[in-house]
Amino acid sequence: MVMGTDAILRIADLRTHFFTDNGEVKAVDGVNLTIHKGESLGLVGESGCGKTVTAYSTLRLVPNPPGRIISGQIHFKGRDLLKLSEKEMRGVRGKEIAMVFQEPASSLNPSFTIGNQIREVIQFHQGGSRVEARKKAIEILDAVRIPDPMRIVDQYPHELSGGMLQRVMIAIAISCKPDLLICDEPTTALDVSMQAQVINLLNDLRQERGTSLLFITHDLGVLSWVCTHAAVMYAGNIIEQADIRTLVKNPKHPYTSALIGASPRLDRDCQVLDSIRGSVPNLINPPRGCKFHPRCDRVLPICTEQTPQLKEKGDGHRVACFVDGEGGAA
Amino acid sequence: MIHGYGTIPGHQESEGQSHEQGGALREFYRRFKKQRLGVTGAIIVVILFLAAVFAPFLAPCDPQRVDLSNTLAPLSLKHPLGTDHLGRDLLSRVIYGTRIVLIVGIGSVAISAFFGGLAGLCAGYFGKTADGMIMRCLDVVWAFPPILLALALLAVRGASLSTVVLSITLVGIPGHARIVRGSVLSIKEKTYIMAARASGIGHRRILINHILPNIVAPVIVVSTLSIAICIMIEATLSFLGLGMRPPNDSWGFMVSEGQKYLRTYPYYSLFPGIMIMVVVFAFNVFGDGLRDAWDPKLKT
Repeated sequence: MVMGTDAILRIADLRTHFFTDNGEVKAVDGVNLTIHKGESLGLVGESGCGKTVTAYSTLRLVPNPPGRIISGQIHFKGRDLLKLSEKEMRGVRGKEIAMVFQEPASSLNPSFTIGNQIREVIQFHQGGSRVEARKKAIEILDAVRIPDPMRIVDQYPHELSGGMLQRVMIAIAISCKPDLLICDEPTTALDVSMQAQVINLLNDLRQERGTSLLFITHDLGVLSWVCTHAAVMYAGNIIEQADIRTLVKNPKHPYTSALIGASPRLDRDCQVLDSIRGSVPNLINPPRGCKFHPRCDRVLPICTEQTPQLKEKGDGHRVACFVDGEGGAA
Repeated sequence: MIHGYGTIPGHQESEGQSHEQGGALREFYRRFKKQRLGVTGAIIVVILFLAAVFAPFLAPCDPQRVDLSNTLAPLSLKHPLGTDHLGRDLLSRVIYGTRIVLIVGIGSVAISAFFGGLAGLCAGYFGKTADGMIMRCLDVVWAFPPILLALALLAVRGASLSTVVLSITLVGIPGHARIVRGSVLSIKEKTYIMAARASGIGHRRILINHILPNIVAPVIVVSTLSIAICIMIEATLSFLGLGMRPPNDSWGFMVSEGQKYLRTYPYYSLFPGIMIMVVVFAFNVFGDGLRDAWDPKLKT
């Protein structure tokens, strides 16, 4: 596959904070992210590090209150999404950027048939009659390899299994041929064989349709299977970004190394998996300097003082860490 | 199992609609048919409707014809339920009474479900200030005991059918609003609402297409239950002599009149009383049946 070089999505210095009774939660705190056409970018990190909030911010779906996008830019095909009106944004959602959610069982409205829900999105964005939209719905169900789409189209969500529902969700998401597909842990709620089917489906769709992918996960195994590039998130920041091979083989940030060390592998015989000591910092009062320094094994004096910036290490590999010498003392 | 769809009255209308909608109605009917108690309730409700509509043909006598030579007559073929203290035929009065019961019960519940539902929908979905303002206003109504509120309105406007309906409607609005608001609050947090928004669908469409169908079930249950309650309130008001004026044949009013003759002639209060009970029961089981048939998750 030929990789395009033009950026389809460029997030610059995005800050999304949640204003709670206990204080301001800095869930996303200066995220920079670029996805090129046809690229599949994985966003990895522990629970609560801001992956999902980044995705919601991209679609401007952050629940308000309590959440609000404080600052930043989200350039999508040359437009800043944060500057669009709500009405223009509605034209982007589903048509140009679509999203697949974690829990397929609760992502579909229990009161409507599968066909109704696909048809609604098709008719909303493309118009056309009910009959036409229904025909398109059956085609799209067939495209996501649902067996017997003529029957499934008239069934209710509770009549299908989790894996089938996730394929239906993908069908809805790709029904209007979006340029970018955001998948928020689409395989987490599925068993392993279903995971494999969904991932293969996503890979094929990406290659057939050239859709770019933002794939959120905490599973490095799934990540390396789907993604061409990966960005590691920690406490609201991107701390390392590289193509998937470099990231797994040669991680530069201590957190990335620890994350890789903590994931089970078939090719390595070990009884006990490494774990990262401590837990994700409180995002209301994050630690000074590098937010990872309280949990880091290689902490330097400068880490507690200054915040490292993402610095290019060559070949698109970018790291925000002082440990590797020059680090990026900003 | 063979479904005799062709024989369902009113089914022809749904046939003309799209495939799915016809299918959903058919499905709904199939599921409802299995609820024995619900079907019983539905049959009673239909009979009551027919009785109300065809009262002039069904009633053996004119309910207002006074026959002072034949007061408090025992049950006979001419007067199956006897006569009252003015010699009026009780069966005829009970049959005509269905009209009032249905107008008051269904009318006031329909109006309060509509306005209460609208208020609850807005309060629940938009939250924040809208929620606070709408719910506080309704709390004012909620704060009065229902009978007291109805009494106050009747005192101001004078007793008439429309005032009775109005006062019972007003009493019912906060309850409906609360049920709808609660359901909306839980549904709007569901992932499928977020998924709908992520597909670009706007607020109005989400409210109408995604939230409304999911709150229909609780609203139907509450409505049918409140039809029963409204009928009770109407009966209570009439019993207290504050509802409909005498020429009207409200069952509650008849129970109240019959009270004076309870020891010597119990039929006067007994039959209207039994009718109130039957109607309340029918609407309750009908509502339960509808709810069970509506919920696709209970489908077999």
